[in-house]
Amino acid sequence: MPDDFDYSAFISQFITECREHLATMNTDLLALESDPTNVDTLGEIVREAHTIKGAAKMMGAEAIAALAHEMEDLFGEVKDGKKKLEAEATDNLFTEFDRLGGLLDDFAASGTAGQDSCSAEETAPPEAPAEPPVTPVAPLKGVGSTAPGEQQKAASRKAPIGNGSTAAKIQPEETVRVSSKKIDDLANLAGEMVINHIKQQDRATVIKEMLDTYQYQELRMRALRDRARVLRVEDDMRIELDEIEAGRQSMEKALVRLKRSLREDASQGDMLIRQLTLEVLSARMVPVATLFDTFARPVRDLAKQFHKDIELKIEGGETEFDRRMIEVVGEPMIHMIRNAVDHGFEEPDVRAEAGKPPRGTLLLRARQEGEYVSIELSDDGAGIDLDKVKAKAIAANLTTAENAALMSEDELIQFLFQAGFTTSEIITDISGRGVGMDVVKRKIEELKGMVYLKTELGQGTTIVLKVPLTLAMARVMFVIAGGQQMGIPTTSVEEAIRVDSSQIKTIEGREAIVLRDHAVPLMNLATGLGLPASEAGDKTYAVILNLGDRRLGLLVDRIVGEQEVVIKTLGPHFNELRNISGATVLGSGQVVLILNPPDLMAVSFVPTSVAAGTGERAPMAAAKRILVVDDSSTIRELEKTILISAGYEVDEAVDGVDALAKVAKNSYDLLVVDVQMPRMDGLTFTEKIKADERYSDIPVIIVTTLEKEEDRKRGIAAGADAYIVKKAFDQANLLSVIEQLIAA
Amino acid sequence: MTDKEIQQILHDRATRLARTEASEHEEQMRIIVFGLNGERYGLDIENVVEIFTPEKITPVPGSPAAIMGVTNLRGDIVTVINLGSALGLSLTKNDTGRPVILGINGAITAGLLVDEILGIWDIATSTIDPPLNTIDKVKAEHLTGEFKLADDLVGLLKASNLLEVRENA
Repeated sequence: MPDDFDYSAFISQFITECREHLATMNTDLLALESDPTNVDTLGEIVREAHTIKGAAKMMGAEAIAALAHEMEDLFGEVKDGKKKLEAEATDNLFTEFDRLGGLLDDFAASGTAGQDSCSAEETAPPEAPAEPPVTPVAPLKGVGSTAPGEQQKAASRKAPIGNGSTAAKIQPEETVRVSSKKIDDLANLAGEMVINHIKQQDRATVIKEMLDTYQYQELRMRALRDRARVLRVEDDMRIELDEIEAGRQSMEKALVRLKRSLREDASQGDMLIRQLTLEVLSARMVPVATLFDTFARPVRDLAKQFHKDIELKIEGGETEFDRRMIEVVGEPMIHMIRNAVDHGFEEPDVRAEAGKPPRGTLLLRARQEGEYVSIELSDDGAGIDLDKVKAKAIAANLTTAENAALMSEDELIQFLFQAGFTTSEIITDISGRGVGMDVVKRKIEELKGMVYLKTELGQGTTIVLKVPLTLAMARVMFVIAGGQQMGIPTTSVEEAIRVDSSQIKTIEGREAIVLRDHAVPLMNLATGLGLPASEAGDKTYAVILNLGDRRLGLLVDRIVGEQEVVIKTLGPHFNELRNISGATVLGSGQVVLILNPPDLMAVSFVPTSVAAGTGERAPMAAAKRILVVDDSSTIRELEKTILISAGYEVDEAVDGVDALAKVAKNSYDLLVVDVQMPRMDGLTFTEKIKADERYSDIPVIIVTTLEKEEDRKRGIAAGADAYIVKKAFDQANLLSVIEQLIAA
Repeated sequence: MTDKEIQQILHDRATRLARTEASEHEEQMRIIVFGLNGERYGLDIENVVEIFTPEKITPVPGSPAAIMGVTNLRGDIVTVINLGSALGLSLTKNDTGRPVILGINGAITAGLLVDEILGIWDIATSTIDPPLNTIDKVKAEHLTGEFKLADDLVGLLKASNLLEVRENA
């Protein structure tokens, strides 16, 4: 374990554990008073003392360790029959047990570990450690009188160091160990209370309706009383009416009061439940050190395997976040650590030659940033050679040499996150194969987190993971599609709109809707998920998803409402499952699935022939740049959406003149051109491009409504590389043509 | 009486009745026996957590055919496997109201949807024969043996593959 490891996060756990063991020892000693030779009891005491000793050593609490050690020895000898436990000795032993308890208190109060200033063996140096104020731990009064004989000598040897326990004592927080299952159950219940609470709030609307009725009745009653007066009905009848009105009024008042108090209760309940949820979730928070700690061994083992010399340093280990988050983040982190050890660090002699300390440092740093925890993993190794990345990307046909030359460092780094990309010369059995950075990125993004990578040649690489503190709660919009209720995280929902079937246009083979001048592709949620399509009425709803630059409208039957829910993961059976990220349990006990918008987005843009197949993601093309030339903004938008989702970078031009200007300014891998456009048509534009030797290599696809054979010939004559008729146009076709042309 | 108590009583009764099936000294295996598609199957009680009847099973689009969906068991989400389809039997129609055996194998838990629970018996391991080699491949993968109970042949299932829903290549 690294020297500067921060133990403070474990102190309370350590104290709790030791107290439990000490309690057992006390019980055992009581039992020994009446049955001093019971081997089982003696055995247990020895084990308990041994455990305390071990834990104390880990924590650097030497005084505790020493005392526990002596107890272990003593009871061991009694157990082996080498010593006898005298009646008066047990009294002393109880005192010693208490003293051990006192040492634990002091240790807890000192608030630190690793700098245990009351080491029994050596005198603490006078200068204070470079840590925040540390209360000196109570000194030993002398480990003696535990037993007759040599124990006494041992005691005098380990004499006190000086009295230092005068500083104010911080009472350690009392802790109870609770199984994480119980806390998960509590979190579940808290989540269900939220749902129940929302239901209760609905009741308030019932009262409001009642009130409306009563107020309407007042008008009718007034009219009735007026008529009674005008008609001069008998007095007793008018009195009757007055009494009914009085009754109605008091009822109305009562309802107003009820409504008000219900609202007050609701707002208070809201606050309490919010607080409860937060508290329960915070109970599930654990220091990130519990994760970092587990990396010490793999780092050591991997370093050995790859003949590296690496020191693991941990900072911010006390940063807390959701235990469930820690479970999920662990795997990608291990992968990154393997990468760092294998590829990142140089061999010691190489490091020495480069003027670096032969021993490399792997730093894990955690820090809370608002609602996020940022975890940094940095090595002071060789760094990533971005020129190599560039060469590799070109060799793997992920980009062209010209494009690569223009790419920024950040753009080049993005290649590292692509499937199957590795900069390693040889594929080693650890990080060359198996999960790559693309998997790390996907995992982190599934947690709604982010991944950044910084690297400097010769200096090292830093990878930053930013993940939310907790993933338990989310706000979802409930919809019904294909007869099934499902939730969509509202973070991805831009709006929900009512759609008339006449508004749904088929633009170039796929359904879309025009929203404020932008075409938004549509997907029927039911059929998209493979559920039976529901009877389509004239009106339906579209939930518009927005993920940065991409939008998708999900057609659903009905929108049920929005709720804050506890998201639960589905079991391991669904690890490979796309489109669904989890589930929540409604107040009724029904399980409702939560959709995963990024997956839906990806599926919706996979060419239909592929989508019907294995459900695997279509291979993403690299960031090639395409210019879309069309005078219709709808078509531009649509083509752009299709191309972007296939991984291309897309620019737009409104006509041939605009396109020529753009081609002169930027470099493109391909041009998608409409024929009929103002100012300069597509055929003329194509002729100009093909005539200019600077651009003649750029493939041109003509997309047009013109279907006549002679037009086609004109297009070919103009130099177009492909000619797609809009009627036959579908995105699969377009993408496959583009792929062919770009790969060529 | 709670469900647990009822189950305990039924369990005790079944155990008493079962005494006749195996003598005291033989090595025994406690097996839960259930009916499925007119056939009898059994599972080692070691792999059984509890039996419950889910109110509603939510289908999960895109999951393997053998998975019926997920259901709620006291706030936990449990995967329900259609045992009939996992064994390649013809599908049974009525899915609601049927009992689910919550099975466990290592870290994997899943519910097995069956037609009816017949009881729990102690069976002498010596009376458990290897499965017939005439059974088809799908079944063979999930069966570890078979034994006679009264006049019925009971197929003893192994929990491992079943609960994981390994898809047949």
